[in-house]
Formats: sequence, C-alpha cells, structure tokens
Amino acid sequence: MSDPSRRWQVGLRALILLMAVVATWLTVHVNRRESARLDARIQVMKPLIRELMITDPSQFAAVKLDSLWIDDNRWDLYLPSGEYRLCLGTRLISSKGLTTQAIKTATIKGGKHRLELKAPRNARQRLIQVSSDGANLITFEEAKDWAVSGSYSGDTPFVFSAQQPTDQPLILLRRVYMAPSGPTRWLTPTEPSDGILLWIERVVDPEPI
Amino acid sequence: MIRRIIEVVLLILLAIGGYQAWSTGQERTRLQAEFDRLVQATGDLPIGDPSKLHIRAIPTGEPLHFAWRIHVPANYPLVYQDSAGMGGGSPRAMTSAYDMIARVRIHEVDGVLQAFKNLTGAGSSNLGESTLASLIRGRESKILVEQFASQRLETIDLGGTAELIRLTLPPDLQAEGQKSLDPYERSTKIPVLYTFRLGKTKPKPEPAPTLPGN
Repeated sequence: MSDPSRRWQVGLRALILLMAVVATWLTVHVNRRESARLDARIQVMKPLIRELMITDPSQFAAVKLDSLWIDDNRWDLYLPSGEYRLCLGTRLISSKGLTTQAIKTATIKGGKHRLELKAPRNARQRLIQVSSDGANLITFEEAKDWAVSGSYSGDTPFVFSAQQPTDQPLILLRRVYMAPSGPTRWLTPTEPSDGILLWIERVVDPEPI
Repeated sequence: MIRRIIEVVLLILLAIGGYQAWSTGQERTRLQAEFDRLVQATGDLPIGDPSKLHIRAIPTGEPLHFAWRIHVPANYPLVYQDSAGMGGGSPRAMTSAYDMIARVRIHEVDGVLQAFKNLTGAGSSNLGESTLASLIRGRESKILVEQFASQRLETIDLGGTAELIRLTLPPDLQAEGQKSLDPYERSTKIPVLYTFRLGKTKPKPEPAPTLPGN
C-alpha cells in the first residue's frame, strides 16, 4: 500500500530544474519589459535627431537636417548605386507636381551625400547655389524680374527620414514666391509661378539601337 | 514515472526559456546601445509628472549655440520671448504631448549679429549692427553664459516661466562696448547681451485710472 503523504514529493533534481525554469522565464519577462520601455523612449528620440534611415537600399532615402540658421536647407541623402541628375527649376513652379523644366542640372552618383541649397535671403539677391559634400554643383543667378516679392510659401518634405522609389523624382525643396494681386496685396499664385524646385531623378540609359 | 515526466517537462521549459532569455537579452542589449547613442544626441528626459514641461540642456560643442530637449505636455501652450523683442511659439496648446529640440544660436549674417531660434518654428531677430558684431567676433567664448537646465533636468508648471539663456558681456567687453557702441546698443546690450525666456513675461502694471476732475 502506498503512503499518501509521499505522493506529491519531488526529487532534488526536479526542484533544481524548477528553480532554473523560474529564473530563466523571469529573465525573459524582465528583458521583454525593459526592451518595451527602451523601444518606447527610442521612438520618441529618433525623430528628434533627423538621422538618415535606410531600410530598403533600392530606394531613395532623405532627411532634412535641423535648421541652424534661417533658411537652412541641408539634407542627408542616400541614392542607390547608379547615376542621377540633380535638377534646379526656378520658373513655372506650382504647389504640386513637376510642372517645370530644369534650368540647371548636375550629375550626382549613388551613395550617401550631404546636399545644401543656398537660396536668396532677400528680394535683392538672386543667386542660388547647390553643393554636395562641400563641392559646388550648381550656381545659377536669376534675372531681375524673378521673385520680386521675396516672400514665399512652400513644402518642407523629409522633416523625418523617409524613402521613396527611384522611378519618381525625389523632390527636396519646393518654394513658390508670392505675386502681386493688387496695389498692396501679395498672394501665393494659383498658376505655376516663380520659385525654387530642387529634385533628383535617375539617369535612364538610352535604349540600344 | 510521473517524476520522470515532470523532469522532462521542466527540461523542455528550461531549454525554451534559455533560448528566449538569450534572444530577448540580445534584443535588449541592441536597444540599450541604440538608446545610449540617441541619449548622446538628444539627452535623456525621463518624464516624472506628465502635466509639467520637462527640459534638459544638450551640449552643442559650439559657443553661442544652445540646445535643449523639451517635453511639452498635452494642452500646454508654449510661447517664448527674447530680449530683442521677438516672441513666438504655439499659444494654442497641442492636444497631445510631444518632444522637441529647441535651439538658440547667436551668429553673424552679412555683418549683422542675429539670434536664431528654433522651437515650434524657426525665427531670427537682429541683435545689433556691425559694431556689436565686431565687438563679439572671435571672442564668443568669453561671453558669460547662464543656461537653464544645464546641470539637471528641470520641470516647469503650466503657466510658469523660465529664462533659458542669459548672455552677459564680461567686464573687458563691457568697457570696450561703452566706447564703440551707439547709445541705444549701450543701453540694451550692456551688460546683458541677450536673454531668451519661455512663457509669457509678466504684463506691465496698468497705470492707475485717472478720475475725471483730477
């Protein structure tokens, strides 16, 4: 006849195993809780530092850097391997889409780049300069009739790092200068007008004949 | 037999737990490294009382360039004013809390000394013309700096104010400025060159109404 008081006794080996199991799963629990806490704080901090993030190396990536002065237009870019055209448009700029032809272009290779556009600071200045990694790529001076107001509206894309496919132009800056709509009134024109559009497009190899 | 089954089950749980502990440990180490890297750039800002504004200075490595990590609670209107007379911010509070990096940078543009601010939007105010700019030029590191929250995390109640930065000219630059600056700049830039304050400044007391016949 078996002794009922001995039925639920466990051996020393089982006890040690049980303690090891509890310790291991407690570690898993603590690791998961700490990881969730760290991840939540990382998600708050990441957008603050304007850092280029590349998850798909076959796509463009861009982020506009934090402004350190008025009209500070600097970007960190990633272009997949290949050859690209950096384009500047100053006329027939609309608030959406690509309605203009490039007035100046420069070739830019794939890889990571820091791009900067220096725009005119007031209505008297008309010089636009674009540089990549400190080397000047585009210098263009507009005519006196261009952007007479000096005031503008526009987009600031890529405030947060983002990616987009290379078959679409990567528009980095869009600025539309206000135009007179009366003796003392200036409005953003509804028709394509003077402005600054900076974009990058892939150079497509011509079809072999 | 039952003992053997229990031991086998415990062994399986231990093996699975061991793998889970290893993989979650790897993930935690990766996140901790990422967190530490981001803290270098943005500062650590643990939130105690979520109804208060939390603020901590971040080193920039550049003289006269100041930055703070700020946590703005929900429904907290954030406004600022500087000694150059420029105010701004978001008087209408956002409905959800947000974090940001605020910057104040004193620099020279085309011979003019400017105070650039970037909080909820970027703005700039002129501090002084070429004489003030030349007084400061090359001597930026001599200016006496009092930066809010540079030593520890600070909190501000709703409606409270804080002077984020106070820049004072050292005695030798004050003496030089007394000779070179025009009377207006002397009265407004000596000894305190620039201040930047979060929150509304106290309104000036209204003059007492004059009674008819007085």
